[in-house]
Amino acid sequence: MVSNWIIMVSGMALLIYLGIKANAIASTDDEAGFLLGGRSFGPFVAAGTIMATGFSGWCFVGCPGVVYEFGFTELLANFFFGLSITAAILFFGNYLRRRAGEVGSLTLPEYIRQRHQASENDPLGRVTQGLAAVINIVLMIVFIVAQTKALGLICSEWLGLSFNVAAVLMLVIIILYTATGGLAAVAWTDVIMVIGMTVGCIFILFQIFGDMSMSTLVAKMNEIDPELVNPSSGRPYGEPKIGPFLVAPYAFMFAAVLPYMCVRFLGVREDAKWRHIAAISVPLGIVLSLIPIVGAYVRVKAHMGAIPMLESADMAMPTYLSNFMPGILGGIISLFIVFAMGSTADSILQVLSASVSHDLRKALSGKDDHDPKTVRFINRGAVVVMGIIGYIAMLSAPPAFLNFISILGTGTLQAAMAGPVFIGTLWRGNSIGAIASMLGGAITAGCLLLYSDMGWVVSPLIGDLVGIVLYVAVSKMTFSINSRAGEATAVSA
Amino acid sequence: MIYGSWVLTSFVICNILLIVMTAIGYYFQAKNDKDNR
Repeated sequence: MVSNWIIMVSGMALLIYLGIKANAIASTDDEAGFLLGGRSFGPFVAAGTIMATGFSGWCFVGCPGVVYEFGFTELLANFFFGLSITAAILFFGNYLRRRAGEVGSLTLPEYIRQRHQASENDPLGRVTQGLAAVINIVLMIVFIVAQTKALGLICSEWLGLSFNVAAVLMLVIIILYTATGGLAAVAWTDVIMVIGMTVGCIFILFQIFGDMSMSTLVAKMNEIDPELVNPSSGRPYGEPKIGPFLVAPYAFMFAAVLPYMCVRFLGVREDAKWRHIAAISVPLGIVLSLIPIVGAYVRVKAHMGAIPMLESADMAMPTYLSNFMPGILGGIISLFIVFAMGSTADSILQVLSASVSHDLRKALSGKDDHDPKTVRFINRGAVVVMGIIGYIAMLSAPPAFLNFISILGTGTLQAAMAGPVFIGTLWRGNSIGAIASMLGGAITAGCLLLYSDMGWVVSPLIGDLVGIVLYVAVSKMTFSINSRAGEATAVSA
Repeated sequence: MIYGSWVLTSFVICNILLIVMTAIGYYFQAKNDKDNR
């Protein structure tokens, strides 16, 4: 336990140090310093922060549990995150960065407004930014509840603290460096975290394949149940075998339109090459997508009698660490798992607070004449306040819905953003189309997630489709009463 | 099929696809940058 504390304090001290270093960028008079890291991210930082945020704690804790229960289908499904995030970087990030740069957007809700408003004085512009901000705030609070809860659960066991104390401790550290250094701190700390996650993953793979070859692992899984190796259905992604493949379009939209993912595209340096970002992402994605193999290894070891059968599949990774990664190595890998969760939590907190401090402020006041010091104070204060609100919301959230509230938050937000952000970047609609798309997409995905059994992949994808159709159809029908921004302001689309 | 499993075969194919996709994207973006210079 003492060694775990030493590892934790060292790791967290490094993150806070990076937050303090990033303060130089965050404290410039330009608000882009705090909200977009001064648009300073080179290929290495951009690739590291995108991959760290995309591969959250779910990859380290949830996925091995799914492999333990359902077999290698999850290995395939999880891989699509690496593939699709790289595709989003390679084929979409550049367009989003350029369009947002043309109009000077600092956040996704602001981008939606500026991309669609007929003119600076268009009242629908403020409505669009306000609506996008409110949707983002509501759904990201839902998501940060899940992330804080997951962090609390892991850290309480790792450090021997009560759940509440562990959750507060982690949240305070994340608030500290995010409020100090803004998106630059989040991105830099993400890079450290993704290096840790990748190293941890390599350690684990060395241990597993040092003990048994891949062919032995597959043969043993086949002995337990052939369905684990060559399933007759796509379970747990539905009965048809196409189920796991649908994770590919889901993960592409996840990377391309979710504000806490794609805001990083806006922070990329103008002269950075997107192909370099993609090339750095590929090895990270390939290594991180192998981590679910832990679930198969634990299942085989339990079948061989080396460890007892698990009471819950979600215990696959903790059981692996306590039985096969003893001592200081297990402690270091636990830190990397905390990193994986922290890299997602800090991103959500940053985007959430930017929606409150920047987007709501602009949507409500309609002007931006505050002095830079006041704006910085508002931005930093919002990080602290939203962190506290996230903690309070977590305390009052129902206990058993950790995964479901994550899915509800991200799936619904993705469907709300698909039309105005994804299609809006490639083809310009108008404000009415953007508003209809956000509402229609969010309501569809939210209702399907809450009231149908379509699952966490298909429901958001249907929401995306509804949002996209509404965006194009409503925009085309209303161009006569609400012109495109390009037509009114002569900004080329 | 690799290890007699459509899931593991798809996994390997998709890994190759990722590398090929990135290589093609890399090549065309580099070519585009060169043409625009």
